[in-house]
Amino acid sequence: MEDILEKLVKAFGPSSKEEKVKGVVKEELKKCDCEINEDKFGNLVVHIPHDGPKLMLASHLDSIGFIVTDIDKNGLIRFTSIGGLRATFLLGSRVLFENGIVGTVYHDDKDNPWEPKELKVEKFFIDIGAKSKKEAQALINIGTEGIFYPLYSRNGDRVISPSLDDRSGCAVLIELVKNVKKKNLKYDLYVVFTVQEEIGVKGARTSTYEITPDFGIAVDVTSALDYTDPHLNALELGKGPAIKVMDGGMITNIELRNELIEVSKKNKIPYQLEVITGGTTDAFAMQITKEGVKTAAVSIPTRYIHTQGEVVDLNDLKNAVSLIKSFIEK
Amino acid sequence: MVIDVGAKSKEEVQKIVNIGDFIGFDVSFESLSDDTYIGKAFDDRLGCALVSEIIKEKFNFPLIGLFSSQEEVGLRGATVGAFKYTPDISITLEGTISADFPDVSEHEKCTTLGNGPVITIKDNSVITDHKLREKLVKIAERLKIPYQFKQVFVGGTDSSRIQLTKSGVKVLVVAVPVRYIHSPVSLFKLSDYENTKKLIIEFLKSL
Repeated sequence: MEDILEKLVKAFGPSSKEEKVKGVVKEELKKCDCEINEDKFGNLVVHIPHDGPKLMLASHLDSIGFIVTDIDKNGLIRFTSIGGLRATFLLGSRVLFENGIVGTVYHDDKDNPWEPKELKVEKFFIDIGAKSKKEAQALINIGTEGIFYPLYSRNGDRVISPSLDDRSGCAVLIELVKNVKKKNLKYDLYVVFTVQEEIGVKGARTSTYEITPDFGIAVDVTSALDYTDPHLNALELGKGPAIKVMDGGMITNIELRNELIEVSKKNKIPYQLEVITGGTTDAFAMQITKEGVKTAAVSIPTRYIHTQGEVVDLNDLKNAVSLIKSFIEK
Repeated sequence: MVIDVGAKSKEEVQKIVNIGDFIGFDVSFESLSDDTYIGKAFDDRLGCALVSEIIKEKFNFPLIGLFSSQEEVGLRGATVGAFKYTPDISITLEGTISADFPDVSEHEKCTTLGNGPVITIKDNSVITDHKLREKLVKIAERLKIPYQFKQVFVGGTDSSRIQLTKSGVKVLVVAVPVRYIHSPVSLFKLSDYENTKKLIIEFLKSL
């Protein structure tokens, strides 16, 4: 699990440029007894055909990122965000571009050169060490995409890395597909690695339309605010995967949610219940596709989401695999 | 803001204006030079004009020109139009923001008048199809049609709804740069319009 997660977070894959992450998933699943296809929108669809209702599991491949909007006369790069980059956490961070070029983020607040007053992405730039506009243009173009430099580290059970949103979910689903016992399956199983979640939950909409599942479960990260006192939500790292009740975009299907809870209890898998007010996942789109899909979501509690140093507990990923595996098998 | 219609009393106004009446800018379309025109609603009547002209050409595939309603209030017409026709590829044609004024820093100009069709890579709502966009750029370069990329990745267009229709649609967004957009006196250059038309026609012929 750790190895897969490390490979996944190190793969370049901001929204719309998920090819390398798809490559990792395909490589990991090349020996599995399943059909792997890329759909029209770019989603990677893993199908394990079986008798039973159609169940779609989804995790998104893409991460948030940077995209170049202009290069100034000094060779400094102006950018904007792909998905929800948080301006407060950008200064000083390292950016890795799709062609391997690395840069550092600084700001142009002329009146406050030491500590900027205005924390707006438009006031920031990336220095890639180019001496001139020409030199920068030879390396970077308008539209070139970047990510937080994927510095990965592990300390015991905990991983610190960017892009754990949602490579954690991808790692869970890969591990699940590798370990699922086909003869025990209760469902005709579609495992979808979706694209462009961070810029509007896009891949899940088109793939759900195409597959038309009876049931859906999204696996994504959720914000654990266990570092605040008092806690601002009930989610903690290491206390098990979260079974989502509600987020900023949806309330999950009550039957499916209760079934997940029952499965956890029966198999003595730790779990937490998730009620948050902001953010949403692929489950939001799955639920309201066509005439509607009964949809639940399993979340990996994660600290500091959308920063260069997200933190997860590997036990939560492992328990998420156990939970979903127990759910889909007889 | 208030609108003064020159009435002396509430009663007098109520005879001529009702709650719910729609109000538009009363501006005429004028040329300032051979290449420069001013008027209202260039967002998106320029797109409508482009579609009207392009649809008259002959192509190797069925071409649907969708004049979408209610874009400005939430991309509503495109949502249902795309569902009805389910295209394989869609190009949204627009009039887009140009802030090419002397006191605006280079990276915040968004687009520049006279620099040709504006090709959107990303805006607030969509990342356009990388392969089709590269093809479009190659055609512009081959035919020496000037083009520019939209620099500030803001705004949204019908393309975001069209893209997510059914199993998904590959989308492009191409626009004519317009100054003072969403105001009574917007301004554009005919050469940008003509180059946009040419680029789109050549692109469609290459498909």
